[in-house]
Amino acid sequence: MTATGTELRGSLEAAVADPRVTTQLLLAWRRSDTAPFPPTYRVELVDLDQGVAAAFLAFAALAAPVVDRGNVIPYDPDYLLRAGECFVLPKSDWPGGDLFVQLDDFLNLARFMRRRLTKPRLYVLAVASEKGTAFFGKTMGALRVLSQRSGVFAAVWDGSTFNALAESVATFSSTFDWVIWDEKLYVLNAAGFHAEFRDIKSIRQAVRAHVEAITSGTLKIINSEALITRCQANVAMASKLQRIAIEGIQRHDIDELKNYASEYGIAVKWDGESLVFEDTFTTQWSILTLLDEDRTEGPVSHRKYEASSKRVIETTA
Amino acid sequence: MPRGWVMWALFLSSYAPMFLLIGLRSIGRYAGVAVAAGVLAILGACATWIFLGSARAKSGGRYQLLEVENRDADVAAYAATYLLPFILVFGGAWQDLASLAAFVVFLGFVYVRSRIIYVNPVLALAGYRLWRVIPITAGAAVPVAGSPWPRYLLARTSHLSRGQVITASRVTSDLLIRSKEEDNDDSDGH
Repeated sequence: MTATGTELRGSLEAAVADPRVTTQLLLAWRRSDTAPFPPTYRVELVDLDQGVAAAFLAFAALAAPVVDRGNVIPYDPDYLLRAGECFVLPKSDWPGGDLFVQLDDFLNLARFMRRRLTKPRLYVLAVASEKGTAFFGKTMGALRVLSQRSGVFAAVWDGSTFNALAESVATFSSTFDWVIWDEKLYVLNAAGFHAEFRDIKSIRQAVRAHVEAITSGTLKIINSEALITRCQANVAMASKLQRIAIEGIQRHDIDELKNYASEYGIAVKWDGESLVFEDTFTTQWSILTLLDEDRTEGPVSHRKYEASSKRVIETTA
Repeated sequence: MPRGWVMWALFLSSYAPMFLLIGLRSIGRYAGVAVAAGVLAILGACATWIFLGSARAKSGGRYQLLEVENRDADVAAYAATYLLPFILVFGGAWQDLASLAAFVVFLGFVYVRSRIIYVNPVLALAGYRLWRVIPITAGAAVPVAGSPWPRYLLARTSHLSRGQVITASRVTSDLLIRSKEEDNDDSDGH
């Protein structure tokens, strides 16, 4: 399932290493956290000292090789990328509401002027050279903005004394969640990327409909209300449920499902022709594992595997 | 809106030669005015240096110029105020000093609150030329409607053209300064 990643990718490393490259920082806030998805953003351009810009550029240079030479994994919102792996999204599939549209002419965005820094949703580093502009984005969820009025007491060390923080201070990471280069969006950190751009709310809201769709045929699920509650509380389960509703194996013959569960050791409980959802830590995934056909067998070694993330491929004879 | 300290720095910078002329004219006539004018001239020179240093320290961006217009002629607008030292009559009376101080303060407020802030003869003497440009981010789609607002650009070049891509730092919301490297490239090339 891992592609070599040689298709149509530009030489980002060379662009970032260009001696005349320019680096700009953009901060983005959602206009409303309660507005329907996709969100709209307020994006502002931050004045950077050249020394700070050079530090950011060094971070971008570390991320560039993953984009240039990393293993491209077919996009799967439930797959957690490992080091050196990335998803690639063509421009037509970019999420993010109006964020990426605003990045097009980022130098004409409003300057960040406010005295007190409120926590942005994300920051974007724009690295421009003659070869084009690359954008490196990071969700600020896990990062901090320290200020005098924040809950923590923040102090700066000047080498001999701690001094109370007079201004708000933002902390930045040396890694990025995503990169845009050559009209493609490379996702490097799936969790950070989806935390900002995936419509978690609608996935949760669709849980009931998905359970109803799955049980609209012969297969029924006893204790389905508990399954709905559990999936609504767990985005990964809700997302898996969504995929099952579209391409799960629930329409297959019940005996076939029972044999599969038995042969592959999937701990589901049956009550006649119906599955029983058991809301325990060890069994809450069982029905989803079964219906998403997570357990499979290697055709050569005949070893049995569990593959929670998968995609359909077409083979030629 | 440009930052306050930038505007006052540009004001002092812009009128540094006038303060110098007033100081020269005051020597031997009124020591207080000579000293005050000398201090203001030094402050103006420092302000120019600080302004350029601060502007150059910022990270630049790559702009494509959709429109370019040279505004060097605006510097001539300063000729009138530079006549001040030559029409001054130093009687030493407090009324003379107060009216001179009031005039300089008035000039300052007019300066920082108007677009003439970017017309700076001292920067012109240092080789900077003033341009009015409409810039967009290099590589961005040219807007069909609602074109970006014009900005002023300080650059040590006599050749800028429509469509040209430059590297410049944003000093204020409506003032850019071209990168030193590109300015040097131009001066090497001519």
